[in-house]
Amino acid sequence: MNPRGQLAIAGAVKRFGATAAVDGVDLAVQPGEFVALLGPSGCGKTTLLRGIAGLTALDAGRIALDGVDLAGVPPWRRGLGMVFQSYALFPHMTVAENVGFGLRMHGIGGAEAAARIARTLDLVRMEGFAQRRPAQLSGGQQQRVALARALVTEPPVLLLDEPLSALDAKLRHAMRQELRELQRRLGITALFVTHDQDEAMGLADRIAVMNRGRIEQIAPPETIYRRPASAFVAEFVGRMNRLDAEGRGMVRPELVTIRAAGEMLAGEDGREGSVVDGVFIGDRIEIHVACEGGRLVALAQAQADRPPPAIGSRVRACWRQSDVLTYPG
Amino acid sequence: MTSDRRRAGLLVAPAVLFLAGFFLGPLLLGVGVSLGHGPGGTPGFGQYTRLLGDSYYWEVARNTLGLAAAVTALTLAIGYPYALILTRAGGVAKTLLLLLVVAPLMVNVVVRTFGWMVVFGRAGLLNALLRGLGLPELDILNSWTAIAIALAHVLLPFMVLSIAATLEGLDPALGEAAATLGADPWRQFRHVLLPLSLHGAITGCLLVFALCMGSFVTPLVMGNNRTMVLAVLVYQQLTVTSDWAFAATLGLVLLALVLAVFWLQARLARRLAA
Repeated sequence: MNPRGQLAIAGAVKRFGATAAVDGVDLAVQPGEFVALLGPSGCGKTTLLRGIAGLTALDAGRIALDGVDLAGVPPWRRGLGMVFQSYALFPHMTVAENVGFGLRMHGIGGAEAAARIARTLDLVRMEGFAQRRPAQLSGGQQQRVALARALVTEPPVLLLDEPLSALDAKLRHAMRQELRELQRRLGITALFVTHDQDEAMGLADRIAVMNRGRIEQIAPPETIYRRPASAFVAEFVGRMNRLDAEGRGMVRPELVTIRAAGEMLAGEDGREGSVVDGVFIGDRIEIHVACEGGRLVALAQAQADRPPPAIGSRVRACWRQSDVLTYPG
Repeated sequence: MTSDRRRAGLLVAPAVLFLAGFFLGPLLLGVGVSLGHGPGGTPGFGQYTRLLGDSYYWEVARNTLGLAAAVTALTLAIGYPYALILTRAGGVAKTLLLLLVVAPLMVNVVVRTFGWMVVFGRAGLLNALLRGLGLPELDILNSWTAIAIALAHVLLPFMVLSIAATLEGLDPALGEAAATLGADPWRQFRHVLLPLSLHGAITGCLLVFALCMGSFVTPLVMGNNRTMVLAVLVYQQLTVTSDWAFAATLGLVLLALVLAVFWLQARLARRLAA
């Protein structure tokens, strides 16, 4: 069987009144790839996802699934799986009926439907809950049912709209891992919308960082982190020190080293200032230095034998010149 | 806990006192009067045997139930699609649609009824229209049809608002989820929206049915004695024949009928929910 689930988006535009929610997006997703659409709220990531699902009509652009143009194809004929932020489980149906809904709509019933419902519930580890109602389930369980409902018809592409945002932090972590493993096992193409960079980093093969309706950068998580293509990406993903007010030069806190005042190595740059705070965060310690031109944060390994510099002491915050990210203002 | 309970008791006391004084009291009084304990009455079940033995009253009861059922069906048939459109509309359109449906509530019932008489009268708007189209004229002013239309007009908001309230409470993603799973708009409606809004439709039906059973001005004025319902009959027993005992009996029968229908619909609702 040919690998399926290749998604090609070209020049996608969606306007709401005078503002463009999606402003010329090109995106190619390979079969079996997991891509996260990451950005702040209002960046157009959800609108783009809804456009792919066919729930929002785009004003311009082309969306093709495995080479077939989806223009004019209504959502119920696109055959894409979607998981909603609110899960949108049908409250009047049991878990089995919810999961079986897509099969029923495609005329699959009887023993085959029952077998596929059972198999999919098994997949999301909800096998004992077939006869429950959504209201009798916890948030995490509802999430799994929503996932099973979207997967049961074996769609080529799975669209996920902030599916983990309604869960508490601990469960979110566990579900993230589960989702990743499930996606790999099924080899399904997945497009995941989130505003949470940790989630995007932990899940995706590639991250598309969106801002104001455009994709600023699309690359594997490590590239996004180490070589952000724009000042926006640099500051949105991970923490960042601005070396000037405009953000033309930036350096990551973990690349900043605290040295004694006056000390500096070859190839380094640095600024002197006084320590204003030292925050202990488990394995690492965060040192805030008030320098001329702003505060700098250094993130260092916490070492039991070396106490952090005292608050108020004069230090020099140093970084390698090659670690500075520069962007045209 | 006891102080909480006492406070709660104090809070509901006005409502309880009001209902006891102005609803339960008269109701018990009515039962007494119907059993012949009123002025000039003979104690016993005489009024009830008289009512049950006369086929005329059976017919009036049938007519009353029939009218209420017809008006309920009519308001449901118009009200459901209207509520659906209302919940999907936005901005000015929504306000206008809402205003349009509640407008009849802002006009006094007598005025509204006379308005319909102007429409349905022999030389009224409807016949003028039919004449203009070269069609035969209708004499429907005193008919059940005219009364049902006039009642449906005023009771429509109760149906529309009950259904719209339920529809508004539904997550819009429910229909979208159904769509992504392969359901076209009709099947999204049939399998998701409709079953989830049945509750509102049942509430609307109960409201309209009960209000219709008790409606009295419209059948009285428009019916002109050619059509009779229980409420008008009660009024006649009081004002024309001054037969208090029989009026009370008829009133209690009317109440019993409404309660019986409520009970049936509650059972139906429970069956649907299960």
